[in-house]
Amino acid sequence: MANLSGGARNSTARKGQWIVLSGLILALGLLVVVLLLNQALSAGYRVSQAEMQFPSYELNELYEETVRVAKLVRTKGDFGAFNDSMAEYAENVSKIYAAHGFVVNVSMVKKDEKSASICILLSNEKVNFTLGVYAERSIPLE
Amino acid sequence: MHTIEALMTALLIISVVTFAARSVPTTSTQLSETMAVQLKLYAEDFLNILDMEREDHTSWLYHQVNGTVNGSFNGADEIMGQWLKTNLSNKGVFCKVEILRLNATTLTFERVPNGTNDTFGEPPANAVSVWKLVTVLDGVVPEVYEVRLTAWQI
Repeated sequence: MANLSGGARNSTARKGQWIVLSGLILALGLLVVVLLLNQALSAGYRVSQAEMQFPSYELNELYEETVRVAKLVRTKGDFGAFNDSMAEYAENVSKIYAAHGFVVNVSMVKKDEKSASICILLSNEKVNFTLGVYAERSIPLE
Repeated sequence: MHTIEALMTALLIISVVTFAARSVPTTSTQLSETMAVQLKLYAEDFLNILDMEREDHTSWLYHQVNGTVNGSFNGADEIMGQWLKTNLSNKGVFCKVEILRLNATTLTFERVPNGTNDTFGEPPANAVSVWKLVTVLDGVVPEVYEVRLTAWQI
């Protein structure tokens, strides 16, 4: 009788352990799923943050617009006053960038009839970009 | 019979569910920032396409700005017309177009006459602004204008 009742107690204890174990497995499964989901979302978030934090659009815009204006001055404006026109543009553009929180310095000097040397500096609290400062950079004006 | 074990299991599952629920607010904040980036990219791509360089180094956007500041037509309306040709407003993405010039003394932007289109009303606080420079050559003096597109999604 004693053995029998002991066996019944063991069986009851084992059933209880199964309940705890299944709960643990369920909880761990849920934890892993949530962690994976968060990691996937976090990856997308970090990529989008990089897009917002690094001013690649502003940098590209400054370079593209400067080169385009130089070509416009050559084709539509007075090429004799190229340096003066570009100095005027540089002053305007640095003020616009200042209003957006950037320190910008642009200079472009005519080299010959078909090319000019360009020098760009753009900086804010995160980026310090220079082009044509340490080594001369020429652009074609055609 | 197994009350304590069941209680332990319930407690375990509840604590994990609480952990999962607490991570949701962070996720929704991240999602709204990701949406802002998406809007920024839409607006940047839209302006870049309008400002594609032609053989004479001008662009469609250049002529809209030139026509607005030196001519008599409303460039902002034309830009909005192009926006309406995309399927973005069908997706609930709306915008406001402004053509601005910088006041050099106060360092503030001023709207040029006929340079605003707010068909969809004023943008909400979570709207995203993107700008593009357009330099109009008037003789030897280049005048720099800013075309600003403020986009938001409902």
